[in-house]
Amino acid sequence: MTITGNLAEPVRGQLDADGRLISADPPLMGLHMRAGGDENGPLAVPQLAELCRLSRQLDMVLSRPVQAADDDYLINMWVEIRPLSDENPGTIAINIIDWREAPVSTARGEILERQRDFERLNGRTSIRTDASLRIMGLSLPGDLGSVEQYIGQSLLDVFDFVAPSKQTVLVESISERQPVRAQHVRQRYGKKSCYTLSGQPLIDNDGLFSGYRFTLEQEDEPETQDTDKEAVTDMEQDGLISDSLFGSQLGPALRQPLGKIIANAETIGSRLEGPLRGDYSNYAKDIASAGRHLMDLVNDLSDLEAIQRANFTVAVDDIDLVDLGNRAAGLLAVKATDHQIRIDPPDKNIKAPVKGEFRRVLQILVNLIGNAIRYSPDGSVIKLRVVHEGDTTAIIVQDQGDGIAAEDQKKIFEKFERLGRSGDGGSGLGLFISRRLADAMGGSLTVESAVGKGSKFKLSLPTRDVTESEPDLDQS
Amino acid sequence: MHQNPGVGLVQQAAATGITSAYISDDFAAALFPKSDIILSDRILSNGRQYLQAIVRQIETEICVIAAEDFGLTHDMIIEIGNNDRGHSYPLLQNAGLLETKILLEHVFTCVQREELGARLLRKISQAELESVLVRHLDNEDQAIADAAMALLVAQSRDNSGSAAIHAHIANLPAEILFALTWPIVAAVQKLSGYDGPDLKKAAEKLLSRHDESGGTQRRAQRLAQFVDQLDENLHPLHDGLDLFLARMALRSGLSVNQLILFTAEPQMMRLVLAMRTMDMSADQAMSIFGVLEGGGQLLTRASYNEIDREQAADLVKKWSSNILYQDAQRRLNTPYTGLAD
Repeated sequence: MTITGNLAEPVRGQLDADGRLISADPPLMGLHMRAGGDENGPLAVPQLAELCRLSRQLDMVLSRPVQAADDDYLINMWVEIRPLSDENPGTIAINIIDWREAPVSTARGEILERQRDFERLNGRTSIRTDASLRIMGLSLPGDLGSVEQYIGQSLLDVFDFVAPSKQTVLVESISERQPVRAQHVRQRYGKKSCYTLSGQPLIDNDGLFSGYRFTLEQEDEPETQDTDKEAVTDMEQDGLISDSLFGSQLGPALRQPLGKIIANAETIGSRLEGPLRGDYSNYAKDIASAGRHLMDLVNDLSDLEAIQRANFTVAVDDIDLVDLGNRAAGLLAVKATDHQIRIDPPDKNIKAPVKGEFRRVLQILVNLIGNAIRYSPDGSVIKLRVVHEGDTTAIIVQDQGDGIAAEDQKKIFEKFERLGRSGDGGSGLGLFISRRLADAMGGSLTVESAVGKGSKFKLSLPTRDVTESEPDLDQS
Repeated sequence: MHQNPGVGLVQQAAATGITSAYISDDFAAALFPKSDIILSDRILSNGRQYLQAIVRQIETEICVIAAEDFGLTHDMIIEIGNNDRGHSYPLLQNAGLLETKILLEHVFTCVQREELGARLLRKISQAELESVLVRHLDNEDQAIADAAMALLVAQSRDNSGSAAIHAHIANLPAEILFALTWPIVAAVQKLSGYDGPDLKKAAEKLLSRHDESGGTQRRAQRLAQFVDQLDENLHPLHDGLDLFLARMALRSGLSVNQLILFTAEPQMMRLVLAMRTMDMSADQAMSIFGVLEGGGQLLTRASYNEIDREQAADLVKKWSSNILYQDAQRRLNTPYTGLAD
């Protein structure tokens, strides 16, 4: 690929009355040959050939955009097709006046990766099966290593059903091509984690059943309930909950009705089911908004309870802070764009290998960047940078907000501390949870800020030994 | 059918007797529409006006070329060239020559595009709409600046007339101009009684000098090719309608005409699917939906996010395949309902 941009001189070609390419400049000839054409053979670029046929049929000049694929490139051309009726009846002149090549967009891959990040962040994943329930693709959060061994196996061989769910219910739903809802399953191998399984049948273009797409939402392990008496006591002392475990019992029990409230309120608010008075529609939107706020709070409280358990541990994954910084920036890109805020992620070419749990580090970074977006002025920039500091490597989230006074910098890491702010959707638990998670991973979360000068939140984690093939920060 | 005041009652009654035989056709079309698109009185009125204006322009142009370039001195043809009554329109209408699929689809697209333009003007002023292109005029890449200027010129030409519907021969795709020109030549010949070669020569000249690249849609498509990769933000309020549609067509693989058709469909479902396929965020899709939608319907975040992207992508890919193939598939899949009497 050598040509980019608009051309000083058009790329020219000529077709004879039989549609054969009798002359062409090198770029057009190259494209024609790569499309399977022969020298002096019929024009093999279908889009151009069709325009030439139309031009000959109408005996008119055409001037149109043409897009052609060429290996890994898409070529956007602006083409003028001119019948040369006066000079040589039936002959067609091709003039390509713009020729722009661009690599085939990788946006689709990036979006899928972003979707997977969302799923990992929420402890969810999806499984795609064929019509006979053979697993065609999956990724399990926290158990990434065992993914490959599941591909090709039957879903029923990978998961056991946990009462009250039954395998027969799933089989019946599938035989009737019906959606599968909230079945409790447990991994048969590996970590034997418990999940809530839901699925939708997939119908292909010909209207035939082609398999299922299942969603798995990780459940808290039932057996941990008996071991958390200390945590319960802590929570009771804090006045947070009374006598039940939030994460394993109250949390799921609240999430389900809250989910219904949000969904129904959104349906009412958007008048999907019929006309509604404007003020009632607005009330419904308020209900949906309040429901989402409550859902966030439930999630935060579940995390709060988890980190306060005496036996709380985190996984030790080999992760990279640059990679995670970019992923977190991607997850919040839409929210940032809504406020015309630009997130400047770390340079993808450098490496910052550390040890920590993938999902938890992502959670911390999403919290830090989310806060930065919430408290930064519209149109500002949030910078993410990585630094190497002895045995640790840190990622810094720097915003251009109002900053935090020195006397408040300790307080923001305390539970429910909002520094007097309210109504912005925050629960006051995010930074508390983030710091505890960072501590649990052998790292730290600190802040450096001054009023009017923005804030820098620094997440430090133990540096991981780098294999020789990976260039790290020092080398970049 | 239009009544001609110059004709007596007896003749009118005779003519009406003939046309009334088609009442079942008209009634059936209104009673049993085959598409889900609701054709409002405004759409029908604008469609009629658009078609009349285009026929009038082509007719006038042919007569003027015949007179000026080929020295034709036929009185009737000179008169047709000098006024804008649209003489051949009733003849073409009566003969059913304006009922071709390609022509009617084009007319509908143009009318719906006007409708979208009107909806956009409820959100942003004409001056602001024009200024959205101005930012490309200072581009360092001269090709972009030139393409933006060309689009601005085309748009100002479209907006210069006072008519409710903007119809201009320069905006016609070659196929449409071709499909209209020859029936109009035949109609003018019949009206004038002239049977010489000059009208045909004039028509050939009109067709050979037609420059598609001067049309607003083509100019928008050309600018879209230049700027689409440089500018992430895709929105009618950011690009203006023509550039927005052209950029969306470029990204989705669909044609501009298809996208315009999608906007006329109930809840703009296919447009929403196309947006989902392009990985637009829910906020962006909802905002675009809000600007283009005219029936008070809403797109919710939940319903947008619920759309399975891969299924949507499969459908959009299907819609972007060859139109003739799609048409044949649709007909082959239509259940056989037996013979009608």
